[in-house]
Amino acid sequence: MNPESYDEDGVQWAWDSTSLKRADACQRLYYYQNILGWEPQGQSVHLWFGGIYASALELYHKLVAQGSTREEAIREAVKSALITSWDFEKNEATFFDDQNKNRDTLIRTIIWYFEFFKEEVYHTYITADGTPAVEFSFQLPVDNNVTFCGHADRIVVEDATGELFTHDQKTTKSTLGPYFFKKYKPDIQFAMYTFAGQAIYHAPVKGVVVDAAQVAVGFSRYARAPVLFIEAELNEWYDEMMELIKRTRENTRRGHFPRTPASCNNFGGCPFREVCSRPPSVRENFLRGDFKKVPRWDPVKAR
Amino acid sequence: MSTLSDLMNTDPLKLTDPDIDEIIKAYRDMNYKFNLGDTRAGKVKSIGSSKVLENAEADELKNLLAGGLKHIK
Repeated sequence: MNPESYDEDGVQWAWDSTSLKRADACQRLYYYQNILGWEPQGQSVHLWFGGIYASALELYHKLVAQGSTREEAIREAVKSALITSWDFEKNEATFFDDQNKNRDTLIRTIIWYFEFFKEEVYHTYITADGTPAVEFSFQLPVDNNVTFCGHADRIVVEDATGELFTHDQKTTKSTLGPYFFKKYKPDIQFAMYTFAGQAIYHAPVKGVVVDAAQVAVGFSRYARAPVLFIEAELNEWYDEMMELIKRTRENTRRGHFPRTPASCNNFGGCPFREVCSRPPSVRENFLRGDFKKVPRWDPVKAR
Repeated sequence: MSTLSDLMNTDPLKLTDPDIDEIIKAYRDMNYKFNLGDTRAGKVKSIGSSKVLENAEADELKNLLAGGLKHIK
């Protein structure tokens, strides 16, 4: 099997939630990012911040599961984040011109997280062979020569009920409230985590426990809520993903990727909106001018 | 003694464990002061999600616990 996520004809066989979300939002977006490898110039502060934050918390859970004390694990998590957010070429802290998400608020949000959730009610699930379910990376073959790929922080057990969940972290600048968590149903990523968690661990994973952090200029606040999926919802999600993948594969073979104008203004605006707003004959020029070429998105290697 | 700013602007590979502990303590102190002045602090630990389950049938939950996902190879 091709080690990359695409076969010799360029048709994708390994699918993660990022690929599915792109294909679902707009086939042209999927084409530009997954197939051609175009990315916006510069680095997204949200991806930078969220990635280091999630990695620090994941390291903490891994170390605690391995026997480290809470304080030892916090120290290592903070140290890891300090290192990852340092620009060793310039010998200075990585700089983002963002008053909410920067290195100072990153370290603060990590440390305050451990203060807020000091009394933990979820603990890492230990599998039958004694392995803690942390750094939950999966490649799950399903129907139609499709493999679902992904990476989650861990599987957890709720102390009070013994129920199982996947654990995930989100950061936002917005005020947290019930509305924040409602947007995760329906959700491709969380449904996939739940589906994969049940399949791989043969355990009744009920959904995803989301720890959300609001990152403001002078403070960080937190909230937690479970996002639950029953079997009928997961089966519906599965059927929809199979149809989406089938349609995207057919478009790939035909070299035809229609745009979805209704998605152009979602999530702050599609990065390719300016490209799509130009006549077809000049789009390549705008891609070359405003975007950078990276290796095409590869779910098999994504982590 | 180094200030927080000094420590945050030091190559992290050169920071000692006590240095890291100083950074943690400084941010914890900020958290403590923030909680003193924030009337909402500590009151939002979790947001109830009972509404998420309001349409779930008891039988479907039982089926979930019993497994039975289709399409798994």
